Amino acid sequence: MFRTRRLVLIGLLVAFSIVLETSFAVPIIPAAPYLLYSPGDLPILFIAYLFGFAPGLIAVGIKAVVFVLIRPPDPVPLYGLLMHFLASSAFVSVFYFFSRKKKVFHVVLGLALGTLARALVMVPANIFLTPYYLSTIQAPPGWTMEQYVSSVRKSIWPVVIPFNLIHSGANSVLFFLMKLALGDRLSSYLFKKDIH
Amino acid sequence: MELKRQITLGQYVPGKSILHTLDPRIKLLSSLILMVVVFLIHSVTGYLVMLGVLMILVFLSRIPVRYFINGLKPILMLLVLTVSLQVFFTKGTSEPLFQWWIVKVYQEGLVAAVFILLRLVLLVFSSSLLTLTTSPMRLTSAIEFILKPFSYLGLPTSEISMMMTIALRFIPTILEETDRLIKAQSSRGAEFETGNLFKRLQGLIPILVPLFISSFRRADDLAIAMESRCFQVGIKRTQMHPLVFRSVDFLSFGLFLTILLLIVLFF
Repeated sequence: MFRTRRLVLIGLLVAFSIVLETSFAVPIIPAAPYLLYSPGDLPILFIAYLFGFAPGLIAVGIKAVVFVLIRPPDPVPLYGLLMHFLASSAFVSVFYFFSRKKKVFHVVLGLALGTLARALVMVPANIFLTPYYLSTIQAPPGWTMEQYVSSVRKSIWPVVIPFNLIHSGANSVLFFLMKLALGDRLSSYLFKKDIH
Repeated sequence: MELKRQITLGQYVPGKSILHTLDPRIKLLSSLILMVVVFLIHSVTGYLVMLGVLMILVFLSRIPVRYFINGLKPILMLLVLTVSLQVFFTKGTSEPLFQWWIVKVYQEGLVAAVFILLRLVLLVFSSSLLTLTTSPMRLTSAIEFILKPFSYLGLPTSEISMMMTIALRFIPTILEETDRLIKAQSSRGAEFETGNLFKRLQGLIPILVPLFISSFRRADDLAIAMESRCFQVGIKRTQMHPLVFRSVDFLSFGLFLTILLLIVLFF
């Protein structure tokens, strides 16, 4: 699956993705300033586009783990790691599946459906996982698990779905613009031979 | 636009304490168990005892306490918000301890605030203890060891470990390059912090394109350098500093587990 140059490039693009994730994070939903947009998925999309599904998914996993290792400690690091992995892997997997032919139409279709897939996957992920996170930090206090679940359910339409659609939509636009800007360099990289 | 300077490679503080020299696999496992135990305890007394145990570990690590307190800074807002919610919104059964206008503070609220504060501090301290005493490279080796069984299912574990090492090694380099590009573009009048999301995305393109191209170029150079030193994908790699379990690792792990078990049983 991997040759040296691919392996090195994936490592470098994961590093690039982490730099983007931490340096360009901006809040996009006024009601939820803790949810930040960043173009961190962009290099991962390129990994999936250039090298395929498995390297893309592995890159998502490596990014999530390295992110936990280098960031300031989180009270519940596994929650962030899991949500991050689910969101990015849904987007990247669906994008790869539809854009394998590398034609413009297929790439656009992959980006659009990947965006929808991320939003869809994050609905159950939030309903099942976020209540546990909220009960860990007990915000609001004294609530039962049913109350936490119900408050998360209420935030699905106004917060979770718009955030994920805007997040992946913006990354899709960036991917498309970047693909146009990189043009021949990308296609020449696709056909470049490895030494081994 | 200033890049966030807190992206350091972990929070690792080099040292020669017993905690620094312990096997990273043991430390990783202990950290995970510690986090699980935090959720198993439901009393303030239990948390205070655990805090005492953690303070002994902090002392043994010979790392100044301020490094651990710094770890709380990123979640300061969360701490303030959560504690305030507990203090002001927990309803008590007895008379309020403090009352002003519609604000009522009950004893139950204060207890709940101390409980949640201790829980969050313990969780952050336990992950800080791991990252402050273990270098990211040793942590990567520990993760490679944990992933090893999956190699029988076809997962390229040593390649994953190598990619993780490359990612960790090149984050500062790419960060520096990004910073330089942002400054170069800003000096030409580029704006990165104004306008709507689409405008901001457009502004990112002149930074992202050279970064991608330099990543491709760097990957070529690094791959040639690695292959000229006989690196090959798919063959068994050796390590300069292989991880070896010592008796002190097992002893420390056993002692740590016993203490945690006693805390869980008695509190």
